[in-house]
Amino acid sequence: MSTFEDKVNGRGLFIDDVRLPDMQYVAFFRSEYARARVKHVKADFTSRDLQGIAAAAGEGSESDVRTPFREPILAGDVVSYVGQPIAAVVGRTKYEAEDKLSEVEVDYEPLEPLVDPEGAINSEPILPDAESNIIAENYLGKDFNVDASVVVEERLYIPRILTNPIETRGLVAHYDGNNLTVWISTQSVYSIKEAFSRSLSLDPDKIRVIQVDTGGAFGLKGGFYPEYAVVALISMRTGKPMKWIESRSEHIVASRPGRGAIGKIKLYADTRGKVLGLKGDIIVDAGAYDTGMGSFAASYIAYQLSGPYAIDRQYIHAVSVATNKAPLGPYRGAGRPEAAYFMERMMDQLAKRLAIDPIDVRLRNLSSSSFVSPTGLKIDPARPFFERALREMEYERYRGMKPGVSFFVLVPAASGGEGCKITVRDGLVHVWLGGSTHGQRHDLLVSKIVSNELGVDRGSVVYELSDSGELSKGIGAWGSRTAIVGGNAVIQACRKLKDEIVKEKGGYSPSMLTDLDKSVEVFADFRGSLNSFGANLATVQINELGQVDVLDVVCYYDVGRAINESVVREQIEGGTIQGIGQVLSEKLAYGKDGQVLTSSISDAGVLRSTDFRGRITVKIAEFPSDLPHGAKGVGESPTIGVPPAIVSAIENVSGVKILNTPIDPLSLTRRENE
Amino acid sequence: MELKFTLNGEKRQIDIEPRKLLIDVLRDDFGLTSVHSGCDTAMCGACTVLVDGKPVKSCNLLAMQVQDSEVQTLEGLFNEHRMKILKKSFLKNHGLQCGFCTSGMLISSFYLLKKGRESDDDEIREAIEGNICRCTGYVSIVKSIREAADILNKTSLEELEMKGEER
Amino acid sequence: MGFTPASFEYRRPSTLNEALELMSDLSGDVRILAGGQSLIPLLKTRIASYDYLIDINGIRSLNYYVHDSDGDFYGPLYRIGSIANNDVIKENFPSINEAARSVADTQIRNMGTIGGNISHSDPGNDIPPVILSLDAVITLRSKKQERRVHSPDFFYGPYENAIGPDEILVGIEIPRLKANTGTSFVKFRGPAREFSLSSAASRITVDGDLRVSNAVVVLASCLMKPTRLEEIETELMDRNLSGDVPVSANDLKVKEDEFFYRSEVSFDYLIKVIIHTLKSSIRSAYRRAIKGVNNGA
Repeated sequence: MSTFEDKVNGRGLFIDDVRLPDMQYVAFFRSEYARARVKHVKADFTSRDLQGIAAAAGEGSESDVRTPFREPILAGDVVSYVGQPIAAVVGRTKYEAEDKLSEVEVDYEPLEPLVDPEGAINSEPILPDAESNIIAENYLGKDFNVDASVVVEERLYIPRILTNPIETRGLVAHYDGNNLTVWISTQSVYSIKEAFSRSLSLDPDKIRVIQVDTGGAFGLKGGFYPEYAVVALISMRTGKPMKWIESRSEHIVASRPGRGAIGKIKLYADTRGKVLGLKGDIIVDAGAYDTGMGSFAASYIAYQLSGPYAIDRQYIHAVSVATNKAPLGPYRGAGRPEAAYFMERMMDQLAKRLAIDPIDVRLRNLSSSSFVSPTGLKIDPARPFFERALREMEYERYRGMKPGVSFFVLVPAASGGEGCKITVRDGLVHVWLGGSTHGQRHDLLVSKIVSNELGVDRGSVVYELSDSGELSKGIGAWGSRTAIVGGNAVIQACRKLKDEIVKEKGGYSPSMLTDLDKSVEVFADFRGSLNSFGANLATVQINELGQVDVLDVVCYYDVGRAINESVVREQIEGGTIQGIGQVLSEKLAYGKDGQVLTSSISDAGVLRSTDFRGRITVKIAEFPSDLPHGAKGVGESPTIGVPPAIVSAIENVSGVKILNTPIDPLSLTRRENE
Repeated sequence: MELKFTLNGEKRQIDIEPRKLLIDVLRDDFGLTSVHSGCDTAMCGACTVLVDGKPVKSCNLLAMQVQDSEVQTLEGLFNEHRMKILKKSFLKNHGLQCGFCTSGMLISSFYLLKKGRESDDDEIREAIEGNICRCTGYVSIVKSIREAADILNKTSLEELEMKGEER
Repeated sequence: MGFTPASFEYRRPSTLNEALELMSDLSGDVRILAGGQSLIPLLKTRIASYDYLIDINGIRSLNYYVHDSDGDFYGPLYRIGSIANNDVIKENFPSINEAARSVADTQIRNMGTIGGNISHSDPGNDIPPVILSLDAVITLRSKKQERRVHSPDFFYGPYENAIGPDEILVGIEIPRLKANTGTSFVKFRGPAREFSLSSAASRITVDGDLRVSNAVVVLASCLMKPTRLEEIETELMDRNLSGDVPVSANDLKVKEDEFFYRSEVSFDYLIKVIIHTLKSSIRSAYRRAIKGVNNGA
């Protein structure tokens, strides 16, 4: 991996820096219509030339996606979203490839697109061979009747949001007649390799996926896309290395946005604010195809909807609906922020209805014992944590500013464990992890752990980018899992190394590594449930034009044990700004005809340096997990806890009820006119 | 079309298609891959370089527009004292996470420091308003620039001249 | 899509006359390239394509700024960044300074030019409303003739203005302000927003009693072209504006078809923003005007 010194000197090796002899450039011709029949298409490569399905992969995916919802690698008779790839062209340069796009001929017969997910539930199926637009439907918990003095019911909505890392997607694929080698900006070489194997019907032993420096991801780069398959197939056809770099315009229409969820939630409570039951309809705008996240999202939200609260009766209907939009993907949190947003907004509405302090309502619903929800969510004793959180966040100090507070639980995607390989050579300890770092400083995580375990200087630890040719088995970096299972895998690999050295030499000391040439590989499975709590507090100011200034954000998150405190802090800071963005400005906007109205990265609402000048205070709670390093996850905590805390503060200060993000400044100006 | 310009202190000459953007000439023809492409609407600033000493977005210029001008990329500023201080501060204060926006950030903040006035956090934020970061939330970046500015403000002009810096 | 422009023929004249010859002699779609900050993004989307691009950056005689007793004189190539950092401009025409500082970001300003910003005539461009509010005169030249166009006659609509197919914008004159005149430019900006909902440029002159003796108020961004709001200007006459600025939505006599919508914002909110921006700009211009009186200018 390029070191951070390399990066600061401009010597990173990102995917667009990869040059191979004879390499050519692929450009994609994309649908202008959200839904249409494709009567005729003429281009270098169309679905007639390249057949296949983009296999579901990455976070939230299962290997078997229901057939009618599988995405073709190039659209055939029908296009189902604006931006869907219809054809590919190749040029010797990027310029030539884009020139060739203007030569592509296509004839469309536009069809009526479905854009509203609620409406789509009962509408005619948009995909041929599908019986309906329901990609997945589940009922979690158990239906109930309860005698409640208070019933609060609301419809909440978070629109689709783009991941928008500063580096877009990209890969270089080279098929040499026998083996396929892929260099890629990614969160996992393993999910990508596996998907190539399934999509292209290739023997996995003939595929090697190598990570290059990855410029951010936030969920974008764990899944497998039709473009990846097309680029590899073109390399197979031509024998030449093929490069594709996504443009930002393509990212806006054809990458997989996250969020896009409606929560119609009902709380049944007593007059003291104790929630007796929770019912809900979770409707996810899953887009035209299921790439894994689509079918998973709604039930994942429903599963953790009750968050840290001990609510005994729950019955939640979760449905992922197909619409004529790009398929849904994971975006930092991937269902967790949606669940927390819905629950926290409802708790605030309940508190208002009963004229009880929203903190008291929350505390009343937290248990001091472990709790397993009717949906199967396992919660540690929550009440002590959140009582402490209020003290740590100095809630009393902020009271006068009408702060918003959120309580949440982070359910990391730790299941499945992680792989790690260590090679000692020339006095250096090289480490490959199953998950691919993309900004989170896994190098610091790894060097700290290895230094502790093997007693070597941190400077002698070389963190390597992932490579399926080096480490044979791994999962990926997403869902706040790497410190937990990646860290654990590194520990297990170190211990295995030491054990083997002890067997060979009768003992272990770090100096033995100087002349050693040795590799070990482990796959450290993990099946436990490891949830961590978090709380946020936010204060805001609102001007007469309804513009919100976020003043303070305070975070109190249980990270288990902070391996690198500064890295934890920085992850939280970055995620906090994304959380603020979700509330103030971020959304992917569509027209009634499914056209994407969002025109640029700024139009998508990504915040700039001048958009937030407030204070972020981070307090780390450490309740170690049972794993040897005690770590729990943290990456997604800020995008989970920050938005509802800010929305709550805005509601408190303005007196205006807020159900959807991003906020509508006009609604916040009404207060003045009352 | 012939383009003659000075690149990182050296006179260069190259024959290019007039439509070729400066970023592509820098990256493809001169191998200066510190310059990154992050968007196509000249917003993200990952492509920022210095033209005649001022930060511009190299994705938003035809290369021909720098005819007879001086262009500097991060590679060319390697020996600049202010840049060394800035880089050290970025490394110490973790002013980068994925590193993709970093060269642009360094160019914009180098320019701010070179202007030499005292800069408060608001001015720092405005100086990098044309550089988007998705990882850090700007917090460590502002801190990194702030610390570099503080160090430089304490460095006398004589010291800078000794190190070969211009005023 | 989005990375590269389509091909074009390229010319880089070194004198104005050469440029004018080219404008007159070349047939096909011809476009002037100054800073390129608005043009290049259009070329990259391939929405716009041209047969010829005439790069005027080599014509040094077009890059100037002169401040004298008659007013301020700009060459079209004077960079927006240079305007933003110019203390003489800031002191004499604060609204021009404010408009320049409102343009995008530092990098864009360093390449963008005043001539480019005016001739692009995107409703969201910041310099046009200020030009209009200051009664600027724009000089256009072709191979055959030179003509002076007063700013009210210059802007036609989105991307449309008085520049003829063979003409180059060669100069912008800002007449000297009368005594006791303040100017201001205010732009409404939301978080991360690409487009501004509303901007306002004002020029207010006061008499010895601190009453408005002349008012020019221009609204832009949300309109097809920068537009003087004459009803509001009339309302302000003879008034002392030390208290609240008496502008309300009822005073806004703008027809539905004069509005230029870019983002999906509600009309009610847009009106609120417009009123706020106008008041802000008028208040600021007034304060600067009375400073002149109070300083005994």
